[in-house]
Amino acid sequence: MPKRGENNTFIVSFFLYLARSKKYKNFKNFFRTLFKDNKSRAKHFIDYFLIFLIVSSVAIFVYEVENVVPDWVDFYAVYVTSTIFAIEYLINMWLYNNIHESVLKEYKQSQIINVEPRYFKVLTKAFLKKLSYALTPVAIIDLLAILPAYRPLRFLRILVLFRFLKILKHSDSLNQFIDVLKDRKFELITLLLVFSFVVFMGGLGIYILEETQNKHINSLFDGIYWAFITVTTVGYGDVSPVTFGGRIVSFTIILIGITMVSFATSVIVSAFSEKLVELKEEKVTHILSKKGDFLIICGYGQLAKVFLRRSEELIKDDRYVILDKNCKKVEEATKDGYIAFCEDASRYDVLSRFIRKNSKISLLALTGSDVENIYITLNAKSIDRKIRVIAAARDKSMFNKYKRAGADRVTLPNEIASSVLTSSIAYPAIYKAVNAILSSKDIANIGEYCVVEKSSLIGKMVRDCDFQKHRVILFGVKKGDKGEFIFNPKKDYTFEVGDILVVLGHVISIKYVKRLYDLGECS
Amino acid sequence: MNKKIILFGYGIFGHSIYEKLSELNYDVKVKVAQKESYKEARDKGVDVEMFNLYSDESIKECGIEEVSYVVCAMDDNHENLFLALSIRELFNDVYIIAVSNSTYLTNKLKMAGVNRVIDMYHLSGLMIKNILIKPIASEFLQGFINNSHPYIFKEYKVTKKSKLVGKKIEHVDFDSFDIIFVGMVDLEKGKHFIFYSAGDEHRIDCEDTLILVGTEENIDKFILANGG
Repeated sequence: MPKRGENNTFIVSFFLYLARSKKYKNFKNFFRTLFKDNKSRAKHFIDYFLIFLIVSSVAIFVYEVENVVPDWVDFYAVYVTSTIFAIEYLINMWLYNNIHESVLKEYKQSQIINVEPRYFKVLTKAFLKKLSYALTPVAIIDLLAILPAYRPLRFLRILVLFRFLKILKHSDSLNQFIDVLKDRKFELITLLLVFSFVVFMGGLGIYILEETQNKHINSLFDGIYWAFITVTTVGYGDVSPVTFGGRIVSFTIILIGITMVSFATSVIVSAFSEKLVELKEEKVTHILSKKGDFLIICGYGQLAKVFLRRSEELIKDDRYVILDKNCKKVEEATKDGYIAFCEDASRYDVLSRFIRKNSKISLLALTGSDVENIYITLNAKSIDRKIRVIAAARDKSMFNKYKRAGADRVTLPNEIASSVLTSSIAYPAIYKAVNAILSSKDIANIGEYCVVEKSSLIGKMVRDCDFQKHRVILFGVKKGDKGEFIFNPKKDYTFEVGDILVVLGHVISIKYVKRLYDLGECS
Repeated sequence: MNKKIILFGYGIFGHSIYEKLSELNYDVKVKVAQKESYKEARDKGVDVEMFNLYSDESIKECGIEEVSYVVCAMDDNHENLFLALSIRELFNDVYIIAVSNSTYLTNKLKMAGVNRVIDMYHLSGLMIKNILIKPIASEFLQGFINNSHPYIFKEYKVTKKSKLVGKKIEHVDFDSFDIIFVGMVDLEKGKHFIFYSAGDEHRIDCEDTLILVGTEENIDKFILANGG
């Protein structure tokens, strides 16, 4: 026996086709990325393009007021831009909701409970939802920005001003400003109501008291105008009280006006300072969305401070973030000029906010506690195993636990200090050598370079190279990232693409050799 | 120079420093100010004695004048600094080495008269930076510290009977022994260490010190082949 609703096959088949079609899905996702995904570079290009259209068309409209422009310029400002805006409007409406999903949901539910599907009701609801988009402030602005294209109604040209409002949609800074105001909606509306009340009462007062004695106050509107100008502390001086009663009203509303302006300023400023953390995070997220290395430093203790001071070249492009759950330390880091957030890096949701697949992430676990560092290591590896974790262990006995947690490298500051101290006593010359190498002094710079495809070193043997002549020591060669390390390779060793050379020498010699053999950086 | 050392402190640093210096056959006397540390060290068979940090007489009785180095490695920064200051006050010529776990402490220790300060975070910070920008080179370097590879840095003080005396560095065969010459202390040019990369010409003289890198076995073979 056929199930109910199976007669309406056309509509269901069509929507099923859409739901199953990978092409349609990809097509819609493509436009969603272009118009909705703030992390996408493509959306930024679209935004810049639309901003260009808005600014150029408005500029042409303004110029046209007193001047004659060529037809093609007018055509561009009116029809080309309006057509593009109309397309954008329709695409946004299309992306707003999926009609086929609502219909298919209804179809499946009707199949389960074996009743007749209510397609008409569902379709109407879905179309109404789509139409509700047209009533959103953004859509209204978009629509008004298209209207100047309608030439028979010349006055519609004034609507060109709405094109400027469209910029709000495409500008992050303006959107952020609006978000701040939205966050303080309650306070601002209350303030607006009090303001309107004071202006009305002040206007009414001056109107009653001075209507017959003040030549500038002839109507209630004049009174309200005077009260508005006075409360906002603008005070043009074109209307001023002339009676004792009027001046008393002035005193009162000036005092209230100053209080309200201060209150409004403090509401907006406090909203901005609260939003600051969010804005900072958005900046970091924006940087993260670009390809490249990114560093997450967990903990702002002594070690992190020294590391940051010594690694200016690593953080110069702001491709890093410091996370510490101690807000005082974060405050200190911010005062020191670093990008820091009061967040617990051992929490999955926190760390995943700072991790993007297209960035090559390195994480430094530098909190003062081994337990916390191990937790952070495991957290990072559970989000993405490719994240390179470098941890500083306080206790030597923890080394294996860090390794088990997945840390790629573990440093033992205490061990390093005691080893260096011992060598400074037992082998003073070695101490100086190692210290100079570690500090990357010019004379003892240790370099790591890759044999790339264009390198002239390919196929050459060690004996054919002039390392010695240029005073460069070839410590060893690593066969690719995961290959073995060959210490002091023999004279007959032949270099291949992918070899990583570890060399020691004066910074000038190393750079010269790198250039001589077209070696590449290993990133 | 004798191999006697006084190590103050047997905590986070002291313990590890004691082990490493003992392995190198140094005669290390440990002095501690706390009973717990004393008990811990004594239980491990360490030559340990207690001293009173706030008494100059007690510090004088530690036998500092008989040793080559004094190592200040107390866990408490304030105590470590006070100790270094007291020792310098009492013994003008002794060579003091101190461990620091804070950038600010490093400067204070230097001001207190410490000859060499080992700044734990400075070294680790550099190490982490190297790990990030030169992962393979840094792993190789770290291997010298935590013995994760068989290669070591070794000093070879050239003796009178060495075959190397009078030879130019360029003419010495290091390759056959699979070792690398990194630099030397050329007494003719002073007591400071000179890297091979500096580009200076060196003629090896008696008492010069060569810094070599390789396995201990290969370096020993080289030394033996050149007259010990």
